[in-house]
Amino acid sequence: MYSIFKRPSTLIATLFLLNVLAPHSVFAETLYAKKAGTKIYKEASARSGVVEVVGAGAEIETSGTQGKFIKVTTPSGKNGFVFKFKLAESTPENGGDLASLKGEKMAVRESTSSSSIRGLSAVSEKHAEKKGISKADIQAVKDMENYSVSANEVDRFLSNRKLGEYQE
Amino acid sequence: MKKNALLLVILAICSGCVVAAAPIIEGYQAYSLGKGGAMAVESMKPIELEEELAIGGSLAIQVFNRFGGPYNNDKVHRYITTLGQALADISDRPGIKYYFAILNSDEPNAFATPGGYVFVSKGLLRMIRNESELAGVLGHEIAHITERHALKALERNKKMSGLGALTIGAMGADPELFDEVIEQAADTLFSHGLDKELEHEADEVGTDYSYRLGYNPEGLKSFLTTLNARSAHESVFWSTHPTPQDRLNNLAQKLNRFSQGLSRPQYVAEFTQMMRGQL
Repeated sequence: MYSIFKRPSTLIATLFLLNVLAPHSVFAETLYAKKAGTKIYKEASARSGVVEVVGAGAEIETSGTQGKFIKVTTPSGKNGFVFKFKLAESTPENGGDLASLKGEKMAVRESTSSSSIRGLSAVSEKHAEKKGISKADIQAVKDMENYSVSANEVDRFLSNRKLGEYQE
Repeated sequence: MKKNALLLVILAICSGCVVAAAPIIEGYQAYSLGKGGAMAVESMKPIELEEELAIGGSLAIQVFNRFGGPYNNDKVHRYITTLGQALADISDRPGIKYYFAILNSDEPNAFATPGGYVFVSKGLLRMIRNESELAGVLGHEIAHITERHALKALERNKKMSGLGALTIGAMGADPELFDEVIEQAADTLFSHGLDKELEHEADEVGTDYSYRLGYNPEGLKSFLTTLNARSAHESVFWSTHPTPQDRLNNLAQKLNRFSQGLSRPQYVAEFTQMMRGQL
C-alpha cells in the first residue's frame, strides 16, 4: 500500500498535490476589521461593488482566499470579500498589555480609541512655550493635524493607479 | 513501510497547517526586536496612546523648530498625505491618525515621531525619482510609528528606568518629568538615532507596506542607492541612521520574500507629474 512512497520524489510530489488541492475550508477562522469603514465587496475585486461597510473590530468569519482577498461572512450574515490587509487576527480583549501586543492587535484597539484623542496635547504646547519655541512651530503642528484627505480621495488615488484593493 | 506512512501523516498534517496559515502570513508578519524588548518590560511600563500623542506632538514641534519649518505647497502636501494615508491604511496600525508634512529644508531628511507624525524634507523629495521610492521612504517612516520604535527606545532608556508607568497625569503634574522624557526622546531621534536593528526593521516593514499596496518593493532600496552615492557629510541623516550601504546590505537579504513584485511598475510619470516645478 505504501510502496509508492518509497521514492522520495513521489512522496514530495504527493505532498505538493495535497497542498495545492487542500480545501479552502481549512482556512476558516475569525478575523477582525482593523479600522472603521472596512469595505466588504461582492467579488474578489474592489470594482465589484460594496455589499457592506463594517466597523472597527467587527468579527469576520473567513472561509477561503482568492488572490489578495479573503472570502468572508460579516456579523450581519452577508457574504463577500475583503482586502486581506484590512483584517487582523485578534481583538484587544484577547491581548493583554501593550508590550505583548503585535501591530494588528493594537490596530483594532486604537481604531476605537484614537478618534477621541485628537489635537496637540496641552502638555506638549506648554512644554514648547516653556522652551521658548516659537508659536509658528506650534501652529505648524496644529496645521499638520488639521490637514487631511478624504477616504474617497485615497480610494480614487488607488483606483487610478491600480494599487491596494484595485491591484490586478 | 510503516515509517513511510508515519512520515506521510506527519508531513501531511504539517502541510495542512501551511495551507491554513499561508494566506495571512504576508499580512501579519511578526518582527522580533531582540533582547531589548524584555528589558523594556522590566524598566518601564509600555507607554499608552494618550501619552504617546503628547510625546509625539512635542517632538513634532521640535522637528519644525530644528529643520526649517513647514514647506507650504498644497499640491505636494496633498500628494504626500494621500500616498501616506494609503500606506497607513494597510499597515499594522491603521487605527491612529497619521499626519504628514513637508519640511522647508534642502537637507535630505525624513522623520517620524510617535503618535503618527511623518515628515519629509524638500531636499529628500528632490532626490526621489519615482513613486515606488517615495512609497518606500514613507513606508519606512510609518513603520517607525507602527512598531513604536521611539517609544521602545524610551522605555528601554536607563535614565527612564524606575519611573514605572508614564501617565499623562503624571507628566502634566510634573513638568520636569515631561521635560526629561522629551529631552531623552529628542536626543534619540535627532542626535544619536535609533538602534541599527530598529532602522533595519523599519526598512523591512516599510518595504512590506509599499509591497502590500502594490508598489515595486525595490523602491526603498533604489532610494538608498541614490543616498549612498552622496557624501557622508552632507546631511544629519547620516548621523542618525546606519549608513545607506549598511541598510542596503541588510535590505538585500530581506527582499527575497518580495520577489513576486519585482516586475511591478515604479510610477515614474505619476511622480514626475506631481512634483515637476513644485520644489
